[in-house]
Amino acid sequence: MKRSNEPLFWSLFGAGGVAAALVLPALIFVTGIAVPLGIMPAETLSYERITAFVNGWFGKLFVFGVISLTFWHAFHRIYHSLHDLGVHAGLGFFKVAAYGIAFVGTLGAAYYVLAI
Amino acid sequence: MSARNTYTRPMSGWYTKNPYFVAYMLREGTAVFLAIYAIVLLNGLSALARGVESYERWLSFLASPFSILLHLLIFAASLYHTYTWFKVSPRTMPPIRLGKEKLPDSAIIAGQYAAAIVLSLAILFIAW
Repeated sequence: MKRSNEPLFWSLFGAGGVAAALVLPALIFVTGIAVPLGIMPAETLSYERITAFVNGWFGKLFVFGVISLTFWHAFHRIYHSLHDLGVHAGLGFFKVAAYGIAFVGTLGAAYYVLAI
Repeated sequence: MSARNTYTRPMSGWYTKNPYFVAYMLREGTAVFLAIYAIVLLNGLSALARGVESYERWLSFLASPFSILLHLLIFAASLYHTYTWFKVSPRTMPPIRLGKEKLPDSAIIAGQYAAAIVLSLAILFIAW
């Protein structure tokens, strides 16, 4: 019997779900709400400050981990929701598309994190 | 070959007929908003790598009314994701035993909320 590749994708989905649950609300609040609205100083997200953060190994790992795992989590869930929305045909294509996007997001995050 | 007329039960709006299914679809729907946020962050990272001008352009996008509205929705979705994720965790993770006693569900959930609060405060503290 051909071995299923589902455990691999489910693990990434699970890891992404945990990461998202633990850190995304605070991150979204800082980058998308508090700094743009001036609740937190603009300096918080300044070019120099964020570059310095991503220059350190912890910053690289954190940014890469958050982006990559969120991609795997979200696109796994979106792919599996197609069935609930009545999409039953071409699931093979959608599977490649969904995990392909997550893979490209992972490669992109790794590339840029290392380029900075 | 002629098409067969097998009866197929219609699916449209099935999840609106039961509050449990509405909550289920809301939970699955959070993924769309989290995906958008991952794309926004990846964009910011690539702008950062390209230099200060691209990065400033990304920051001014974040300050637009459209982006702020979008991030309020993403924020709400992320909070709902956290709530639902912790709620099912006692059933999705391996049981934790203390001696012979199984750690109660409420303790597992409370522990995760504690971790989330500590990490969120750490992020706010480091960012500020």
